[in-house]
Amino acid sequence: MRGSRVAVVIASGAVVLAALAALAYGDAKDDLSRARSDYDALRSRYDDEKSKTQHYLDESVKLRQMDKDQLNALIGQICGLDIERDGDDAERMAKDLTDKVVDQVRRNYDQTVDDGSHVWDELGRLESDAKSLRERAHDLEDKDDVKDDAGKLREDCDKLIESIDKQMDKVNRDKSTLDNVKNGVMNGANNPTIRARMQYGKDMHVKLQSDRSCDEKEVVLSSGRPDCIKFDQDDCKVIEFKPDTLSESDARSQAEGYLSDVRDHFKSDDRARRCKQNADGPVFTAVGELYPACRP
Amino acid sequence: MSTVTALSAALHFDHELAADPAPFAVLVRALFGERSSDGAFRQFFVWADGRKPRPPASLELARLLELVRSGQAWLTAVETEPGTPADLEMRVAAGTTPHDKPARSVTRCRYNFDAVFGAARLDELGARRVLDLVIAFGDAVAARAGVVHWAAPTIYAACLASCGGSSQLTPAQSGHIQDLMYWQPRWGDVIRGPQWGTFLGAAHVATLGGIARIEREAPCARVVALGSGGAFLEATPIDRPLFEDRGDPAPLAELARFLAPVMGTR
Repeated sequence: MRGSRVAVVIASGAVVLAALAALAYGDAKDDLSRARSDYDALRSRYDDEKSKTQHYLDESVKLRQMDKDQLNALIGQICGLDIERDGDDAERMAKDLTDKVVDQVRRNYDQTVDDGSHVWDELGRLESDAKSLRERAHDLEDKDDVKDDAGKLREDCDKLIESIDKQMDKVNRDKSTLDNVKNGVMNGANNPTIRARMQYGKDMHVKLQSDRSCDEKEVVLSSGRPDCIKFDQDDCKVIEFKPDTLSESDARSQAEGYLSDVRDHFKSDDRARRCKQNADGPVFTAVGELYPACRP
Repeated sequence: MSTVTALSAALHFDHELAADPAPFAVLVRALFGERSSDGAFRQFFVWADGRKPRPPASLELARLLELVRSGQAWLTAVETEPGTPADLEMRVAAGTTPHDKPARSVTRCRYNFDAVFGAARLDELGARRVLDLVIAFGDAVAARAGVVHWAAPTIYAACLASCGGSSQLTPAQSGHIQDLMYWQPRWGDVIRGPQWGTFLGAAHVATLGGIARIEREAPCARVVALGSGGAFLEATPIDRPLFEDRGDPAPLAELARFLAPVMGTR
C-alpha cells in the first residue's frame, strides 16, 4: 500500500515535470515565433528606409551635378585632340563649374544636412532594434528545441545589421563630400577636370561601340564586362577598348580573359553559328583597340 | 645575317607562377633587366578580380614579382613602351592566377604564355639566345604544348601566338589565325602545331616512343630534349626558318606525319 502511494507520488511528479518542460518548450517556440515576426517587421522597415536613404543620396548627388554643356566644353578643352588647346580657357571653365557646384551646395546645405540627419537617425534606431533582436535570438539558442532556428535568426539579424551599417556609411561619406564641396574642395569625381576625363573615356567607349556596330556591349560575365562582342561571318571577336596609354597587346590581353566566358555564354546562341567553329564550338579572337587618351 | 621577320612564341602549361615565379623572373631579367629607369620597358598586369587595369608603369621586376606572388594578377606582362617601332617591339606575357582562382583558359592547360620579338630586336639580342630563353622557360614550367612562329609584320606574329585579332591584320591573316585554332580547346592533350618550332609535352614524347626515337626519326633540323620530359622541335635550321604563309610547306607536312599520333584528328 505504502509502495503504491510512493509510486503515485513519483508518477505525479513526473507528469508535473513533463508539463513544466512542455510549457518551457512551448514558451521557447512562442518566443522564437514572436522574434521571427519582429524580424520580418524590422526587415520591412529596413527596406523602406533603404529606399528613403537612396532617394536622399540621389538628391544630394544632384546638388553636385555639373552643367552638362559646360562639362562637354571642358572635355573638349582638356581631351579634344582636334582643337587647339587653350590652357587658360580650360582652367576658367573648370573654375566656373566648380563655383557653380559650390554655390549650389552652399545654398542647399542646411536643408540637405537636415534631411541627412533624419535618415541617419532612423537608420540608427533600426540598428539598435536589430541588435536587441539579435540578443533575443542569441538567448533562444540555449533552448534545445529551437536552437537551430534561433541560430538562423541570429545570422539573419547579423546580416541585417551589416546592411544597415553599409547604409549609414554611405550617408556618412556623402556628408563628408558635401562638407568638402561646401568648403570649396572638389575631390575625385567631383573635381571637374577628373570628371571631364572620366566622361571622355565613357564617351569614347560609346562612340567606338557604335562605330564598330557591336552586337553585344558590356555583357555581364563572371570574368567582367567585355566592351564589345561581334558575330561577323567567320570572324567573331571580343573587343576591348583602351586609351593609348596602354598598348594594343595590353588591351588584347584583357579581352583574352573574357574568351572562355564568352564562348560558354554564347555557345548556343544562333548568332554564334556565323563564327568559325573549332573542335568544341565557336571561335572568338581577342582584339584590343586603342583610342587617343585624354591628354591635358 | 640580319633577321627579316618577327618571332613569336606561345606556351600552354599548368605551373603556378604565383607560387613559384622563378621561371618568369629568369626570362624577364635576361630580356629586359631588373628595372627600366628610362621607361623604355614597362610592366603591365590584369587584376584577377576584374578591376580596371592600371596604366603600365616602368619595369621594376622586384615589385612585379611581389604582385605575382600576391596572387592578385590574372596576367602579367613586360613590354616595350607604346610607340616603339614595330621591329623593336618585345613583349612577354604569362598567366599568373593562383590555383584557387578561376584560370579563364580556353585550352586544356591552366595557363598561357605568349611572347613576340620584332626583327630588329632579334638582331640586337640574337635570335638563338632569345629562342633558348623561351625554350628554357617552357622547360621550367613543363609546357604541355606550344609553338614558335616566324612572321611579318610584328603584329601578325603577335596575333599568331596569342590567337588574337587586330584591325591591322588582313582578312586572310585573321582567317588563317582562326583556322589554326581548330584544336585550341584540346591543346595540352594534343600538340599545338606543328609549326617551325613545336613544343611537345612529356606525355606526347612518351606516346611518340620516347626522346631517343624522336631524336633519331623526327624529320626536323633540331630536337631539344627538355628536363621536364618534353621536347622542342625546330623544323628547319634557325638561319633558314619557315615564314608563316610563305615558302615551302613540305617540311611541316612531313613533320605533321611524324607527329600525327599526338595531333588532333578530325
